[in-house]
Amino acid sequence: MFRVLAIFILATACSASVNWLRRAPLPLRGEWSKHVEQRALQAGLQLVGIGTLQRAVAAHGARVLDARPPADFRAGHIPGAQSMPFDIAAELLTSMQIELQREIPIITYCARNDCDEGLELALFLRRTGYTNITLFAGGLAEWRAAGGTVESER
Amino acid sequence: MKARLQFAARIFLAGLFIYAGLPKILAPEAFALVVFRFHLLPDVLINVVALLLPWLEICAGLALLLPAWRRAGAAWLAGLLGAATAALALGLARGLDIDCGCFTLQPGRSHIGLWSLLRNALLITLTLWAGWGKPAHAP
Repeated sequence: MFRVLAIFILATACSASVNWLRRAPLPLRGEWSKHVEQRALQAGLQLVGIGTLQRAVAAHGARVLDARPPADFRAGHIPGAQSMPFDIAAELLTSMQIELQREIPIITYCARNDCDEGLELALFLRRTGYTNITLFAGGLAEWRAAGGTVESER
Repeated sequence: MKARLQFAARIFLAGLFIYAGLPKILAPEAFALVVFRFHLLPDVLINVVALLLPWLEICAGLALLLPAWRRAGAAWLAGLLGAATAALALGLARGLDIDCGCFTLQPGRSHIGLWSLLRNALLITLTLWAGWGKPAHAP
């Protein structure tokens, strides 16, 4: 029992010391309730992981919508994705520049797991009547980290 | 022969848990996100667990190599594996589409599935056999 406790104390001391020595220590209490994934779940939105997105992109099984500004989209986006910045999404839909069937599976994303545009776009589409919407919360950063290729338009 | 096999298994397990712990220590934010995505812990515990757990893996793994400490190390590793297995099972039951983050933090490399449960069950068995069983002298 003493040794079990000693391992715990040693691990606690090591983790506290190493975290304290880091240039940007991880705060002991994170703001996870405000995290985009938590907000998406609270809004009743379904999340998809990188594996599901990779399969959907490979099989063209869903419309992937990039909610970032157009310049960011042109610089690099998930292959096959369409640009739909969330702040002009209504305009794009009403002007028929982007046609979406109501039931088609749609996956939205933005830059990273701390950006809001993908969530905002997904919520907007759901309010507009689209029924099969999911959010890839990891964004382009997670796509790249998983070794995914990126298309650019330059 | 059994003592040699137990000794080899302890070296394997120590190496495995050091290998598992290091990336989590190097990228605590990424590991905290992995912990968060299981949606099992309250906010206040997520970062604490993300900071502490990899050091527990490493310290307990190293303890397996010290004869006087191997049972304590095995107890921790079996406990950690048991907790991880329960989290994975709950994640699977709830249909979570997430990475395990058990041995790598690279996205898409460790999606949770039945394989992760089977692997953890085998590791628990190996840990208890090699670390908790009747003391056997190392070769």
